[in-house]
Amino acid sequence: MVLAQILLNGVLLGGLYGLMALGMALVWGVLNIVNLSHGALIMLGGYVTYYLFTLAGIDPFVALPIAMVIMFCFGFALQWGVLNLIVRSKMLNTLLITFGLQVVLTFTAQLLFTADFRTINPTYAGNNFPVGGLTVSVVRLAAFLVAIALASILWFVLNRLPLGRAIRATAQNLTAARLYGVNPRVLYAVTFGIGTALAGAAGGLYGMISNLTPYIGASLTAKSFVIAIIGGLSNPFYVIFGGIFVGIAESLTALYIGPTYTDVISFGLLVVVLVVRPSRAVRAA
Amino acid sequence: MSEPLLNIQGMNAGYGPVPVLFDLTLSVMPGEIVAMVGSNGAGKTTLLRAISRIIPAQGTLRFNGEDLAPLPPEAAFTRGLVQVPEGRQLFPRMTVEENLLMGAHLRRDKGVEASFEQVYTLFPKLKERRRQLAGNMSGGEQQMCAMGRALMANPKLLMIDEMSLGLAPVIVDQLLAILNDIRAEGIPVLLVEQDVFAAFSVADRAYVMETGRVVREGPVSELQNDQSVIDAYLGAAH
Ligand SMILES: Nc1ncnc2c1ncn2[C@@H]1O[C@H](COP(=O)(O)OP(=O)(O)OP(=O)(O)O)[C@@H](O)[C@H]1O
Ligand SMILES: [Mg+2]
Repeated sequence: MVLAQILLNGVLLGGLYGLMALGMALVWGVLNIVNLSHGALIMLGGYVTYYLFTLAGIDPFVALPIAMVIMFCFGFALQWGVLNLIVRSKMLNTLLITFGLQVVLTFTAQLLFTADFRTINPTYAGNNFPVGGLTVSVVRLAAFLVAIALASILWFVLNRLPLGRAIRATAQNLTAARLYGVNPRVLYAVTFGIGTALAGAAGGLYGMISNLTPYIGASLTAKSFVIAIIGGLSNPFYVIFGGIFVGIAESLTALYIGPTYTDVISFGLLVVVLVVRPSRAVRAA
Repeated sequence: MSEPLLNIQGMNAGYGPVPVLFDLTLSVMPGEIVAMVGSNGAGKTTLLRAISRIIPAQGTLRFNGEDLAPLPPEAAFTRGLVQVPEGRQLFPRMTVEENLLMGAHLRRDKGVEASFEQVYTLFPKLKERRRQLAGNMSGGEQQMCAMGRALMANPKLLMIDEMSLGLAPVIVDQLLAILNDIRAEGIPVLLVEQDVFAAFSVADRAYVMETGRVVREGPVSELQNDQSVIDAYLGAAH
């Protein structure tokens, strides 16, 4: 029973992990940018949701779409104003710029929000319900469902809407996409905006489950990176599965080895993936 | 004589500081199939890139009476200047149908369904294969898909770069016949080819390009009998 509970927790948490990685995988696949500031964008989304909840009194799950819109605009502007300058340059340049961005965002957040721990704590935060002897946390279940819903919406946009088709086409063949009337500058900004909005949603959910500080970005970037590699860059559901896989692995590690090792596990998995499927790590889209 | 659909005069273009095209003049009239032939590196692909506004160019570039010079590539595309690029350049992990839809993705008119019909009538193979990934098709099918995608954009001028490249002669003949059908539907064609025989078999007029300059031009019936063209491109086989 303990094991079943642990697995359930792992799955629910893993859905959120998958959502964290979703935006990173999208941006990586389409823009060929490994966005090292992705975790900082998650952090930012967490604070936006936090303040919508605490200052404006909006229920955090209602605040989530609002935070996504705000984060979309932020991501769009960031790509349009800054990252478009380096989008076609060498991987090293994009890594450096996005790393720098991560540092700037972290310290700006520290200035604006202070280093105090924050948690998004609606009245129902502690609610549970039993299912067949297991305990299900309402908020964690809701976070999982939101992650699945957003992955489904992303899948639908990418595969069924003209915008998504243009995004995939640009990822697969930039030359042809330009010849067929895609303006890469706009398309990249929209794509980065969507990735940032997804990061924002992940941040809001993260703030309901865990603590927000300005410093969570780096480790969330690393986790997202691992999951993006495990799940691949082509299908949102695979990314969610990648997240669930990592979530389960972490939970089992906490149970059998010790809770302090959970952060090690995702990097252990990364090493395994790099050994078993090295092409995954260097492949785009 | 009517106004040329595409009118290029004194065009210079290149890549950064490297000039490739020199004082190039070319026109395409409504209803024509025009061939641009020349050997490797002559600058044919560069010409199409300049026409599509992918690379900057100096000189006159008018399409349908409009000056294209100030327009970005997507505007040239929406004006109906559509190219089938060298090497097909399909979206390999998208289905044939999705590739065709990408041709029409900026269209807001009601004619997209009709264009599907048109493409599937010209290329019945594409209809059979519409759920298949474009990257998994044979070279000939990929060329058909690339041409179909271009037709989905409702072109006013279809520009095709190296249509015959790497294809078996029977497939090339099929595609050449389809060019006549396309012209019959009112779409003029600018065909860029290394295979001079193939190009001359359908074109009304042709230009011969060498190292970025037009060295011969005229009706195909004349060029076919031009001794220097025969020596350089048609060889003893003619
Ligand atoms: N992206 C580029 N950057 C710099 N130079 C280029 C580029 N593309 C082509 N060139 C140069 O421009 C010249 C013309 O090339 P282009 O591709 O237009 O020739 P082409 O007539 O299409 O040849 P082919 O028959 O082999 O396709 C060549 O000397 C080539 O090296
Ligand atoms: Mg060429």
